[in-house]
Formats: sequence, structure tokens, C-alpha cells
Amino acid sequence: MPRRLSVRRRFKTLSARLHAIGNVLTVCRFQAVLALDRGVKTLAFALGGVGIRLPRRLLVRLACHGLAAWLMPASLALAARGRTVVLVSGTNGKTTTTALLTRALGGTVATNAGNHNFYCGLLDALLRSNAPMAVLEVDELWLPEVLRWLVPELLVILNLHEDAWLRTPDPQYVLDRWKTLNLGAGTALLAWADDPALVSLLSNRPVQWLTQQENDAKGQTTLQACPACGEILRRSGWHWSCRCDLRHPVHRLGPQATWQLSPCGTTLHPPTGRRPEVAVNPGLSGRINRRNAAFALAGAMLLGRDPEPVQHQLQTLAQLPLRDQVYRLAGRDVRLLLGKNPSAWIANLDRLGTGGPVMLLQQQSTATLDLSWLYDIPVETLAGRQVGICGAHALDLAVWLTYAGVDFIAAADPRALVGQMAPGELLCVSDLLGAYLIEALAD
Amino acid sequence: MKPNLQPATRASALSLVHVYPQFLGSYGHGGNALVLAQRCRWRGVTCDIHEVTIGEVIPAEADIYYLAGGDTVGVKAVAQALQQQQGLQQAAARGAVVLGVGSGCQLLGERLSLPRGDTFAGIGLLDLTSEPAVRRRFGPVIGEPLLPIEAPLLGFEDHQMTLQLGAEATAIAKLRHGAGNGSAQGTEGIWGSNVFGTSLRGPVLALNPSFADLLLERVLGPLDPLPLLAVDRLRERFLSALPRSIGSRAKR
Repeated sequence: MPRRLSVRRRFKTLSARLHAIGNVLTVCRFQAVLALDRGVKTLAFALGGVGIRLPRRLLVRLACHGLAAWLMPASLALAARGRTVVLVSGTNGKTTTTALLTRALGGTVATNAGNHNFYCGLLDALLRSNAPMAVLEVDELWLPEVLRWLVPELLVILNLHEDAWLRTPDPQYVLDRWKTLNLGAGTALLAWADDPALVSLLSNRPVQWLTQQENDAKGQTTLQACPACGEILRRSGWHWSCRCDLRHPVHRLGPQATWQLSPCGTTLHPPTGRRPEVAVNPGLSGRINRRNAAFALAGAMLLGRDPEPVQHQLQTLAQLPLRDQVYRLAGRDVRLLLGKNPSAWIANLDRLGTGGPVMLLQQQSTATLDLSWLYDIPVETLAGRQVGICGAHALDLAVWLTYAGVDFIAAADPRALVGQMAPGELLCVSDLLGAYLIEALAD
Repeated sequence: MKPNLQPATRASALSLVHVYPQFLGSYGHGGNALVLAQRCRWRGVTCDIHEVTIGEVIPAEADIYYLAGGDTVGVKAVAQALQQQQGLQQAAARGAVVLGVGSGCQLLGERLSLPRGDTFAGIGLLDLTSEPAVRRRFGPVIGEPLLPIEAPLLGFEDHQMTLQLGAEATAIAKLRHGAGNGSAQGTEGIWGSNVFGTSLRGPVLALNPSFADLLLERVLGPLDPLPLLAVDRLRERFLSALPRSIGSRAKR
């Protein structure tokens, strides 16, 4: 006699069946909507030769019914239909580079500002604007999924830093996910050549490599071992190579085949066959933003834009909300710099200058959050300056600064802290939640 | 704020070797070396951190050796470099203090398997084998110390490895909260003689000053406590943020 299934087991079995049926229905629904779209187009041509198609919003709503987030991916394909899509991904600099590239392209461009770089943010950006061009930033862990549904004309990959590792137990996890990048033949790739992880992942594809050849690349390159074979990379200045075939693209392809940003970040040398050189002079300050601007400049040129107006456009973007912006707080100007992970923090160090007061704000919401990564930042460079701390995680900052030998003052909230800070240009390095707090408290 | 400085009870210097920080130095683990050095300096003891990179000789004469955590890419190459160098093994044999954290701890064991199937030998200072776990272990950890310290051991874990301790090996803490080594015993870390290993982040020595002082006392002899208000309050907040039953039990 067959054993009777327990209630729990029967529930799980039923649930699994319903889920499977749901999946089939979803696929059917999307196929039906796409067929409807094609049918309308064909009928319109048959009747009068007019290129009529159903509005994207209507198609997405028909397909999704505004239901669960797992319906999002296919709706992305519908929402992006007929547009030129540019994707920007990587661990650090996505938002800034997306903003710069959007500004560089000029005109009306659909874009997802801020951290809305998952399906919902992408879909929202595509639905909010009917612009023929979309520049979208994509979370690096979700890029393989997004590429299943979007076929970008240009994919800009900035880096794959250690901070991506922090979100996974094993860097190999990210590398494995990226190995399955579904890139169509029509997608141009612009990527950072100084990152061994990227070079390892993309070495078999036609890539427009951008390199800066900095000898002092602290905080910018992370992998010291070869991601392909695990051997220790041989490094000499900016150059790196491995006993296996992996090496810096400049040495594999020759310097003429790469986009070269000068070590000081002021000049971009395109590959041979393009213009001799282009000045990089963005409105945003800092060495890292010169690199982001170089990506925007190269990206715009790859999309056929003339560099002169692009250069001018890049100069007009001098602030970026929640990242590099001056807010008026308690009657005083405070320049907010986002420092949400070690690489972003270290990139900010050259913008902090050498004197003047500095506020540090750590406002993550979970009290038992691991902020070990703070100790990867050479904060001792702030010794001798007035440092003020606040935020929900001010205690973590206090312990970190104490061990680093940096004196500090503390206050309950940013407005109170501003009142205690010495005169002069006031800089504030904050995590993302802290940046939102500053924005909310601004006069 | 800085603690009240105690008068130095001994005029001495302590040498600390940070082994391969370029390869084993992510996730803030480098902070542990900073904590040890600073707690020495506050007591009037000079402490120099000597960073050794692959290809350089690991000196055998130092007092404390520290291997931090890193990512799994390159761990095998680091293990091979440690095998070729005998400085760390010689120092441990004469009683030098060794601390390994994360993959640094795993490298101190007998054998280490990586998630992609690579298995290789560690340097055998601890009776420990490390294997990939099915699930990622992530979150805060509280442990009742099995080390000669009184305060609960606090930290964070984020790894996907199971650490199997040998029959004679001792853990550094009995877990109140968290997955720790991932074994059925419900323990965290391992120690034997003057060699200590843990997977805890925090950095673990910043969150657990008594653990840091235990390592220093093995070199310097008994030390006076070093009151640090910010650390005490951070530990209190850590415990109070967890479910009351766990936090209050740990406080006791």
C-alpha cells in the first residue's frame, strides 16, 4: 500500500506544481503579447504601410498585470524594444559614469539615476521616458541576468573590485556568473584593462580596452593572483602578467589598439585610426572622476559622437546628488562625498585635501552590521585634522579612528556636528543611507 | 577616544610579521595587526609591523605572526609559498605567537579544500581540515570563550567553509549564536599552544580586546587592562542588538 504523503509534503508538491503552471502561463502570456505586437505591426503594414506598433507601456502592463517582480525580466525586453540601449556596470563608478555618459550623449536619454540598478529601476527608467536612447547602470551581480533580456549597443564595464566579493562568499562566484555573459554580436564592449579579473573574463571577446597605466594603483586593482590559473601575478609598475597566457591587453594587443588615459588623467589617447588625443576635463573633481569621464568620452565616441561637444557637456556636470554634492546644512555648506565601500572611500582620499575639517557619517540601519571593511581604508592620513563623527554606526567609526590614532569629536546627528566643526570648507564622507539623511536634513 | 595610558611596566619592543598582506589582507582583517600594534604602543611597548610579501623571506625571529583572510583566488599559490618558506613553521616551533583569520586560519591547518574542488596541504600548525560548506554562513557570532579570557567572544562570520577540528584540538569559543566552524560541536575557531585561528571578522581583535591582550601577554607577560570606552560601548550595542535571550545570556 503506498505511503500517504504528509500534509507538509503534499503542500510542497502542490506549491511546486502551481509554480510550474505559473511559469508556463507567464511564458504563454509574454508570447501572446509579443505575438499581438507583431500582429498589429503586420496588420498596420498590410492596411496602409504605416509602422504602427502598440505602446510599450501597454504591452508591459498586458504582460505583467503589475504583478510579482519575477515577471520583470521579460518586460524589460518589451520596454527596451526599438531603442538604443547602453549599459554601464562594475563595482564602483556606475552611477557617476552613467550620469556622465548621459550628459555626454546630450538630448533626451532614458536613465536610471541613483542606485535603482536592478530590474525595477531599469524598467522604471525605460517606462518613464520614451527617449530613443537609454543609458542604464546595472548592478554587477545582476548583469548576466539583464543581458538575457536586453541587447545593448554598448556595454561599459568599469571594474570588478573586491567590494563585489564582500557581497558574496567567494570571488569565484562573481567570476563564474560573468563567464556566462550573453553578449550579442552587435554589442560593443568597452572595459577597464588594468583589472586582471575583467581581462580574464573578456579576453576571448572583441573588447575596446581602456587603460590608465598608473604605477600607484592602490585601491583600484585587487586581485593579486591570476583569476584564470590561481598563480601569483607578476607585477611591474602598472604591468601585470601571469605564467599562463593572461597578460595586460596593452602587451597582448599593442598600445595602439587600446584607449589610453594618461597617468594624470588629463588626456585620452584613442586607438589608432581615431583622433590623436582628447582632453579629459570633467566638471566633477577627483582622479577617479577623470577615469569615469574617460569612459564616458570613449563610450560617446564609440556611439559616433564628436568629442568636442562631448567634452563641453562633461564640464557642465559639476555635482551629482548623493555622491558629490554640496548641501546646505545648519546654515553651512557641506560637500558630501559618497564612501560606501573601501574603493569608493580610498578614491575620495585625494579629494579630501590635506587640511580643513572632515565629517564622517555611517548610518547603516542594522546595528549588527559588519563594518570590518573600514579597516581597509588608510584613515591615518586624517590625523592632525579635525574629524567629526555621527550616525547610527558612530561607535564603529570611534573604535576604528581610536585604533588608527586619529582624534575625533562626536555628535548625535549631522546638524549638531556641523555646529561643532571648525571654519573652512566642510567635507563629509558618508555611506549611502547617511547621504540620504544629509539630503533630507538639508536646509 | 584614546585610553588612559598606563605607565610602561617593561621597556621592550615587540615585532609583528604580517604575512603576505597583499594576498591575505582583505575584508578589513588588516585591522587586527593595527590593533595589536596600537595596544602595544599605548602601553609604552614599541611594536613594528613588518609586512612580508611573496618572494621575500619570512623571518623566523619575530614575536607574533599574523595571517589575515583573503579571497580564494590565489590561496593555493599562497599555501605553496608558505611551504617553501620555513620561517613561520620555525617560529611556531620555538613558541612564537601565530594568529590566522579566515583563509589565514585555514592555511595553518593540515589540509584545505576550495569550493571548486582544489585540495592542497596547509602548513600543519593546527590540527584542522577545511572543506567547502553547502551553505554560506553570514551574520553576527557570540561565543563563550574557551580561551583563558572572560569576556564573550564577538564577531561576524561570512564564509562558506566547514572547519573540522582534530580529536585533540580545542576551539576558541563555544557558540551562543552563529554557525562558527560549522561542525556539530557548535564551536568557533581553534587554538593550540601559541597558535590561534578563527573565521571571525570585526576585525576580531578590535571587537575583542581581551583576545588581543591574550596574544600580547604570551610575549610580554601579564598586562594591565586597557580601558577603551568606545570598544565597551560597541560590544554592549552588539549584544543588545541581538535577540534578548541570546544577548543577555552572553552578557552573563
